[in-house]
Amino acid sequence: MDEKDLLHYYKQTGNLDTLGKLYAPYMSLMYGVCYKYLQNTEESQDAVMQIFDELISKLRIHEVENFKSWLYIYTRNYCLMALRKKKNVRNVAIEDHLVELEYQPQEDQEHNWKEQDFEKLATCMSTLSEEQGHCVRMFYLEQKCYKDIAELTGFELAKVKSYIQNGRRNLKICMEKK
Amino acid sequence: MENNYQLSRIHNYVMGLMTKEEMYDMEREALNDPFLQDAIDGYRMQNGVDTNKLSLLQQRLATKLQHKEQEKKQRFYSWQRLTVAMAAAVLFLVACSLILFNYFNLRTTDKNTEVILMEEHLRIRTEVKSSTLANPMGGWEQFNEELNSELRDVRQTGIVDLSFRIENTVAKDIQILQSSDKKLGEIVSQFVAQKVRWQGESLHISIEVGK
Repeated sequence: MDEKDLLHYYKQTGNLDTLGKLYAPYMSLMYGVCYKYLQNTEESQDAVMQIFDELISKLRIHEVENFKSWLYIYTRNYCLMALRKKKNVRNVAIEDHLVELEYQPQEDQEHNWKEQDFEKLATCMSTLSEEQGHCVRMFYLEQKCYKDIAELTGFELAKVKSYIQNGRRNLKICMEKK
Repeated sequence: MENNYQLSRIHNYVMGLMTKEEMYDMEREALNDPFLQDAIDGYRMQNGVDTNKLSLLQQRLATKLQHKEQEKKQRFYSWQRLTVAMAAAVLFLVACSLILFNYFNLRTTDKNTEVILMEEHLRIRTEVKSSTLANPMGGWEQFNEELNSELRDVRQTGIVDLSFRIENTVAKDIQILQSSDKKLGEIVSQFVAQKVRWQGESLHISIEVGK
């Protein structure tokens, strides 16, 4: 049974072993995500277990198309709520998180490019900020890893990451405009 | 297995144990997969992947699954018991109410018959003027009682003289020889003809209807 079948089977029967099979492969990723937000080993572990408890009823009600992305959003929201409950207000740059909010499963984007698309891309590249454009070019055209880009440009590693993430998003928005 | 492979990749990436090409691949993958990106960020903060803690987490899940399954079974059994008990209670109530209902119903019908009999007082007196071994099959007493009920709603009083012949237990050729009230005569002769079975050959009776 693949993931979809398992989901469907669980929704119909409520068989907990099935839910366990679905859940177990994502636990380590979820733990990483929780640690990013909660920054505490115990709390992150508990969060992973508590999310499982919540899914027992949630997955019997909701029709979930893509389990991985649904679980990611659920985990994130769970952690953000936990943070809010603790009133532990931390300043997180909103830029870093925007990209992840727009998470969509990657579809195959092997569509044929026409000449005007290349022209459009060139125009869109010029709309990016200098840093974004620079980092995007180095990453996608020169295929350099973040570390190299950081060394070459002198930006911090985290900055490089957010320049690329945001530049990529801006390009996408620009390309989809008619 | 795939999960472990991905985990060790995350660990190597975070700890800087990858070649530039591998790092680049990981970064491209993470750009399309924010779940992975967030997990990488988390493990970087934690300074690498701690597999011991993660296998503990897997154990916790296994224990939880076992525990929940047992809980579910217990809940199922008690629920089942409760259902049986409820069904039994409902059946019991239904049976009780049926019995009570029947009991009261029977009592009320009994009472009704009694009341009708009590209410009546006999207004009829029948005198046989001449007869050829003839009388009503139920006897004269029953005849009087039945006629009495027949005349329950008739207020007229008086004397009705009738003569008739009996053919196959039915009164025929009824003649009203004397009637102090015409309507009373008709009712009585109709009663004699239709509601009473007779034996013998012919009969002359005088019926006195009192108050």
